[in-house]
Amino acid sequence: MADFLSFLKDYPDAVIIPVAKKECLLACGQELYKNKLPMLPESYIELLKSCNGIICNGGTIFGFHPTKADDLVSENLYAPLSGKLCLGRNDFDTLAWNPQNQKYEIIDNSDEEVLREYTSAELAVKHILKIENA
Amino acid sequence: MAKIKRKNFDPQTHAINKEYLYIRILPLALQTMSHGFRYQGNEEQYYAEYNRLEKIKSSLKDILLSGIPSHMPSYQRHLATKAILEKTILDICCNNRKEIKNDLLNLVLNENMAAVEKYQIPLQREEKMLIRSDFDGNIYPQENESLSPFYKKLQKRKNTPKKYYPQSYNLEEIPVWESFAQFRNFRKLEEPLKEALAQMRVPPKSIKKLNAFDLADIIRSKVNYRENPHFESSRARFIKFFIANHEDEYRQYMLSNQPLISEAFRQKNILLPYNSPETYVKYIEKTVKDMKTKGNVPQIFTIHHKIDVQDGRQKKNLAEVNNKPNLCIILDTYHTIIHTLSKNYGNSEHNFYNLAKRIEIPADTVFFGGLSKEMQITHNFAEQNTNRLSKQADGGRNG
Repeated sequence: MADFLSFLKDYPDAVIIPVAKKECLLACGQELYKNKLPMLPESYIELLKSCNGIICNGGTIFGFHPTKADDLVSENLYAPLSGKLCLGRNDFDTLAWNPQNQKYEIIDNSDEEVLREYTSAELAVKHILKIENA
Repeated sequence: MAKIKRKNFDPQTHAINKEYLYIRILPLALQTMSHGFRYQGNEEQYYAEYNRLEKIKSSLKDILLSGIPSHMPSYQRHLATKAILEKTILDICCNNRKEIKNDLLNLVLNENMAAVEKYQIPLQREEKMLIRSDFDGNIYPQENESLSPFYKKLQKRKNTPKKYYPQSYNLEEIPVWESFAQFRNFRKLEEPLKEALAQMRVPPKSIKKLNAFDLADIIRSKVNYRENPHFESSRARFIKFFIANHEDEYRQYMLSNQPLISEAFRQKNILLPYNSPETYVKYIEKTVKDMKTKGNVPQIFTIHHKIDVQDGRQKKNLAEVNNKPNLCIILDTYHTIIHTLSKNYGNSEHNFYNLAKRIEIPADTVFFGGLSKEMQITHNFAEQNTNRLSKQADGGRNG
């Protein structure tokens, strides 16, 4: 993931939101728990330790921003996916974590059909951000 | 007593001020709608937001009604806007989450957008793949489970079969090719695809066994589709088209709406890419250049499909979903609002299609910088088509 983020720093028009404070990560976990949402997978937590969200190619990876846009908890509360945790979105699809099968899923925004599954956070993030050659 | 001169009402200035009001209220309305007014562990933030909303509420009359003679038709509309915003602010502060959705709907309807109910026939997986590939200008790797048994067997072949020539293949024999051929991007690949099939030594009589994902995999792995011929992203093509035709209007919008643009960046947690009026102008020029050369828009904008992708069957062919008349650059906040207010009701009694509600923006809009029409840029596609047809006709007459 570190290599991928280094690659993104030089990627045209990619925006990496600066990493949040450690207390914010804890607060995020508490909010997810309080709202009965699935907990963040370890691999995604690793991402959040390096950045607090990414915007690239019309896709967004959510971070923890309680009072602003693209906030993990807010996005899951106003567009919930039953039993799954929404982690990002692009023009067509949502990136979600499915704790049942321990996989990242790419889900069609219109009908919630699962289009692809990934075990790797990095590959799933690349899919949503439409970046292949990294 | 001296007569007080009323300022002349300027619709442009009024719209700019009103839109700045919207961009400060609407994201908070969306957030509150989801789960309430957030302030966990941050009471200072809560009260700061509360006080901010109070100040906004008390400025509504000045911003929305000042300078407009009460006999003007627009006065009633702006009065309605004031009432809706007051109610929205009240609902935010009182955590009336269900009411906020109605407030947002009333606001967009008051700004002459339409709420339309329609029947929607869901798209097949192959169709979704084609629309995405065409929009992004990229053919993604296909999952192994999606590939046909025939294609998987083809890939594992050990003996060298008979050689074939590209002209041996008629792609129309592949049932799914009809869907591919609706897209100009894929039609351009017809000859390279035949060469790839020949290279792979696929028996011509067997090509009808190939499914859409097989074809996509062949194009991705065997055809230099990005360059020869150029498989252009319809997203990028639209953005380049927009800036080629409306550069001055875009620049005018950006120059007139710096507070709104700054607020939109702040809400996306993006550090402002400018810190003074001079650097802001340079930033605008950079965005114009990026739109022309790369087909990218600033991160606070996104591309909206006016007829939703999932309603693609409404069009004569699927490719029209990604055509320029169906696309629009839109501020991300409004994109979220439009999709939040849209709804799929689920299967009708026929069980063949779904009933859906959509918020539709005017058909000729190519840039949606705000709810007011002064913040939008339109393009006359009908006139462009008429001009193109008459040029073609003239070309025919002149031989």
